[in-house]
Amino acid sequence: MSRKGCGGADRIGVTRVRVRGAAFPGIVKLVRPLCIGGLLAILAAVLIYPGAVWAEGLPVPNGPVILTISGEIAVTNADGQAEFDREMLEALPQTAVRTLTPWTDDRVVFEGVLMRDLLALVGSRGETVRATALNDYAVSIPVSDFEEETVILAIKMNGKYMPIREKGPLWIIYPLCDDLTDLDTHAKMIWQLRWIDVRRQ
Amino acid sequence: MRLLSRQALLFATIAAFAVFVAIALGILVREIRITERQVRTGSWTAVQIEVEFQRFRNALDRYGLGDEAISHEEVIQRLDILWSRLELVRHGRDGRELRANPVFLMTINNLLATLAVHESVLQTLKRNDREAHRRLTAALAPFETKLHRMVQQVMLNSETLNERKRLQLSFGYIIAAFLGVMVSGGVLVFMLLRARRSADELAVSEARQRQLAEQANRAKSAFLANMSHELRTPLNAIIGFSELMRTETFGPIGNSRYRQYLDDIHHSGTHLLSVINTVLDISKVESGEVEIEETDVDVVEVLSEAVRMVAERAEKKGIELVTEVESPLPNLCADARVLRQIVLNLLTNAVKFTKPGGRVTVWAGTDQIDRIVIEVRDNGIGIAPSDLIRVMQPFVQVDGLLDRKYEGTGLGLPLAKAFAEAHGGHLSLRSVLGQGTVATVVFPCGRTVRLSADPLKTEGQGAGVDAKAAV
Repeated sequence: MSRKGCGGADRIGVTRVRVRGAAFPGIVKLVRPLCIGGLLAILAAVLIYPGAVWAEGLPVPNGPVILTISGEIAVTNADGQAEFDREMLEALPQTAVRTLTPWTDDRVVFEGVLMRDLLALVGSRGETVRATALNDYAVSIPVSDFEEETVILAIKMNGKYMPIREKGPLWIIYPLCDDLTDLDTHAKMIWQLRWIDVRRQ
Repeated sequence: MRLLSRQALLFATIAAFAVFVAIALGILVREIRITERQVRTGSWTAVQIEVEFQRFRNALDRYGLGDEAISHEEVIQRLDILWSRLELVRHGRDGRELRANPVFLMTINNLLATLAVHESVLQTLKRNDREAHRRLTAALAPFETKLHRMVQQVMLNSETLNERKRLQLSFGYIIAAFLGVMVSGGVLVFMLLRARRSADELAVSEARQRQLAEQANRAKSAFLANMSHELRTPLNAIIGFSELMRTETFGPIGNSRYRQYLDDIHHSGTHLLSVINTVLDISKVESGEVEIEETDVDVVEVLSEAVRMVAERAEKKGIELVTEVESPLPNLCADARVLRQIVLNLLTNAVKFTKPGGRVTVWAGTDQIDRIVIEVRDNGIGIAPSDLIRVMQPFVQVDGLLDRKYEGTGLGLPLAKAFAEAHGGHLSLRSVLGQGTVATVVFPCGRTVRLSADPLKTEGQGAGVDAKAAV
């Protein structure tokens, strides 16, 4: 189902602000009304750590692994797969999305890594990702979604890390229309995400 | 005013019709979209809760009963996942349906409370701790039935119930709107039919009125004809006896002043008679009672008579009166009296509207297709082009000024025209203002009578008026 009719989220896109040499690693937020009708607003924020792009390939995670990416990828740090802890994911440029969801009250600000950035980082060659959650829920998502829309792998909700009890630690977030009727997209917003398998088709 | 309000009513009805149609369509479209968008998540959420509850209990059982294959982390993860499912009921749209049911909400809250109470035990639970496992199981057991019942009830009742209510309401609105559509449509059709019928009635009544007007006009003409007749009878006495007295038939008149009065009486009477005759003729024309007694008429003779009748007037005004006749001129099949009247009227007009020293010519001949043509030309005041048609109408003189300057009934031309048409011919006028007027009467060629078989008679009739006859 096309989401193009949702107030032009795709058209306007996300403004990313890079702050090199910032005095403190705070979040620079740039709020920009994305929908003329006020349907949707996306909060874009980017954190740049010095050395955010790892010069010598993907490092090995120090903390508990919370995400595994496998399949058609070129960059790995384990046996044919890329493993991430929370610290690694936070080291990547962060994007914020403010949206309603069917599972939260009011609007919520999610922060995390753009899915297209994440897939670029691991050298994805696939067309589809198979995302699987801790609770064994799984869904296939076309990679084109990540190119066309501001889809993030959220690490934080309203500025706080998400425990499993609050559908964390990782949650794929699409900016949603306020009417919350796009069930196909809702189905792709997998929470308690644990594993991404990149596939050719 | 009434027409306006009827139009307003019509527009209002059309507007109402459109509004009702729009409402009905709007509800239908909304219904379709609602059906499309119907997000039935209550039962899904309930099912997920039941499933995660069972998975958590299974994990707990395996761990509590000493299964080496399962870790404490896994048990806690199952707990957390169940917890996250339970939180779905408390927050967001997808939980609204379950939340709305107090029994369900109580079950969920109680389960969360129970889990919270036993949280510390769970977090420190040792593998194969039968006693702790027994207590936990005892605490969780009642929820199995409750959650299962919740799933069944959600799937069977609440959604379909709400849906049915909403649908009933929607259908009620749709039916109401359709009733509105039918009523306003019916009114519209009724109004259009009535409008059409009244238009028909209007046409009929117009025709009837026209008929009545024609009848009235005919009655008027008949009345005039009768009246004129009644007037003519006493006039004949006046004219006749004044004539006798003027000629002093039964003895001389003593005083010459009486003779003067007698001349006035006779002159006025004659004039009145001619006016009455004209009115009578026009009445006859209007009432369609012109009767034509057709004979072979010697046009030259008729022209001579008419010329003689205006000769005196022309002479008095100092107007030259000229007759030109084509020779030989065929006879005309016409009513002699009527023909004379035509020529006389045209001549009278010509003389009347020509200034002293002017010239009036009457000409008769045939055209290329052998029609007999009579023309009366003058070099008088003329008629403006815009007035040419008007002067052919009865009782019209060109303007108010003319009324003063030139006496007359204004019936001469219309009468001549009507008489010409009674013969199947026509009268036309050409005029240049200030230069003169030409009145032309053309008779159909069927009225042209050539008596070439009898040259003697032709010669006899044509004799006398050869070319020009100046008076």
